[in-house]
Amino acid sequence: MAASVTVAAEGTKQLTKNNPSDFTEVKAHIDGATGAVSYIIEIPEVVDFGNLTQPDTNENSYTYKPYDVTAVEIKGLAKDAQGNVTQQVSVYVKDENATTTNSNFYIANTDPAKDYKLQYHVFDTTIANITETTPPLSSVTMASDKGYFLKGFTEQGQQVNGTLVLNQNQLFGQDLEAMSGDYSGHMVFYSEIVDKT
Amino acid sequence: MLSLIILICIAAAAVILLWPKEDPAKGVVGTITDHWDPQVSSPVQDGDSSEPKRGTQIPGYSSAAMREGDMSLKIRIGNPPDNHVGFIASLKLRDGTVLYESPLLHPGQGLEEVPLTQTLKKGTYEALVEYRCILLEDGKPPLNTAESGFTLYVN
Repeated sequence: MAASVTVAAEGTKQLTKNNPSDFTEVKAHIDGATGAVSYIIEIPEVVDFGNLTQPDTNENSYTYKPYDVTAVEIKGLAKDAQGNVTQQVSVYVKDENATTTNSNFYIANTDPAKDYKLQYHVFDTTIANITETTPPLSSVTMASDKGYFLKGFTEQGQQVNGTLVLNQNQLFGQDLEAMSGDYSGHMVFYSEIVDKT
Repeated sequence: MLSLIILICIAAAAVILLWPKEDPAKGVVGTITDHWDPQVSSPVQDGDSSEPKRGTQIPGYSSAAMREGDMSLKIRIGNPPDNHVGFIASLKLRDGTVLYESPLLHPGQGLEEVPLTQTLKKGTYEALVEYRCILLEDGKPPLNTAESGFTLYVN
């Protein structure tokens, strides 16, 4: 199987009477066997907030679920002449039904006769680092259909320790019997090897 | 009678020698094997190994290559043996064109080469393997999905 080769020359330099010589670094990288597995990431299996509680007031009533995304194995990333890794495994996340115009995260009643959905937020940090003003991923519009950028992994063992947050005040004043049932939602994790940003 | 037997033997030999031989490589296209392994080094297991795993391992790729006119692609698509969920794997272009969809892959099952629904013209394509994860029980409800993007070179 043919391997792909990329060659790049760094910048441009001018040779003058006072500077008659200089160097240009030329780098090359040869991709390993094509079609082979280059990395493995581990993603959470499911979004599960468990049993939700209807609050007595319209105050915020958050429930939190931690999640992890892990670089289980990475091999063959390109390096420069100094041995520094110049590529990364970029990981993105989005709701299964997200579009660039509506990219919020939702869980929906699994009974098709009950058209109810609840919004939740995705943070790329632990509960301890989340305050009332910490912006979730979806506080901005999704830049591409790959999803929200989560992390660029460069070596095995790196991890995103994030949190899913659902505000139960969405249930305040609602008809619980009408809304009752199981709710589920799914995230889509997109990953690819790119040059380091 | 003897000459008839000799004639039959010669004819049989001719058939065996001249019959077009099937390319052994073609026999593995689309074949799902058990004991599929992503062929990366075993991850280090830290901590209490008796704690139930909550995550799903997803293979990712840098690139794949094929020739214009090929109706199969060598790419190692499979469900890592450490998983506890099933996969339905689809090979697609970023524009949504589906090139291959697998049946249910149990942990440890995978393919080395996949048949394509169509061939591609010479060029460089953005492609991905979509891994739809499902529980292996109770009606097989869906779980989170992963997409592994890579560059597909058609020479």
